Amino acid sequence: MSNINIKLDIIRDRSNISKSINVILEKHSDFTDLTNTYNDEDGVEQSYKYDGVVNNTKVDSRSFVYHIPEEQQTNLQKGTEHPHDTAKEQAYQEKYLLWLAGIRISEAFIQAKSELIGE
Amino acid sequence: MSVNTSAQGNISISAINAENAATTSNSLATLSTTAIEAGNVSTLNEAPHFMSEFGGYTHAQAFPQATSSNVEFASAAGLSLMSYQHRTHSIVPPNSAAPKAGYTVTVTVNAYGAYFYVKEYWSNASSTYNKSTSNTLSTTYVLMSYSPKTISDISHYKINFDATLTATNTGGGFMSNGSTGWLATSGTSTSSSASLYVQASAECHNTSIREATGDIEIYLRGPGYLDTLVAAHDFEAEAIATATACF
Repeated sequence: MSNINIKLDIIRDRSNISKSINVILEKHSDFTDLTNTYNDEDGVEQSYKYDGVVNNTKVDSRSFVYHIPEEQQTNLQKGTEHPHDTAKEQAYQEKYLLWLAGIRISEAFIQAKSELIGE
Repeated sequence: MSVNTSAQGNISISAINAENAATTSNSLATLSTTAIEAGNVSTLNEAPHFMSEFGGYTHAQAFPQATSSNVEFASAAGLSLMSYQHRTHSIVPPNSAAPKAGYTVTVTVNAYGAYFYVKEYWSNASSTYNKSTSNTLSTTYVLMSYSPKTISDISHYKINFDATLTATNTGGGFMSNGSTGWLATSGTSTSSSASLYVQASAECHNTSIREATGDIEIYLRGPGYLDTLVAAHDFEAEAIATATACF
């Protein structure tokens, strides 16, 4: 049994256009019970447990650079402050999901994942 | 009957020959190289050969491989089973509405054979099983494969999800892997189930993906047999949560 956590580091040019993504696959000996919080629809903070990762369970990693197709490049970014611009956030998410789909079918991703599972 | 273990001196070539069903010979080398290595007798086939290595030896054989019924084996091209759910909502908390995908496997062993069934874990997922054609997998059991060996041959069985869990983004999610240990059969019919599923959750314009890939493995154990992996069906289960708002 293998546990793999995928991190995406989006690389932008000087015009803030997303050009590529540094994809990091980390193999962990196990996932760790972590707690996260979020605000529900009434703005009330809720907490929940999930399978997350911590550094000391990392066994190995692979990384590669995914080049974002030109038509999927954007200067949009995920907002970090309230209130969020919902239209821009959703437009960014559409791009993000396309990137994820492209990454996951890329040869580099399949190869990296296969190597980590095979260890 | 195993070869006498009461004292090394009691082990005879004739006793070894009687136990080793693979050959008929009075040659220790022949009897040793045709013996079945297992457990703590893992040096039988290799020279130098000693009669003492046969102490307690039982000529066990592997269970025959199962026969595919409605679901192809992992050795076939493509996936045997797929289950997928993507939920997009203002917020996708880790509650009963969170997207889940996975499988429940049931093994039934009775006087007619051993039967391996699968159904989807979560009725809101989109799931398929494959063998030549792709078919919808629902919460109704489908016979994956079966073994002709009966409860008189099978003392134990094991359901194992040999799974790799992939998490994309550190948002919420988890995998529940209900693989069993060895389960004993009893009476004229025994049945047990095990489930594997992934769940994703997300909030504040995040997308979280939890994916499990691997094999559903069925193992059999019985007197006179080696513990044997008789069926492996490969699967993928994926849950995606996308939150479209931030509160």
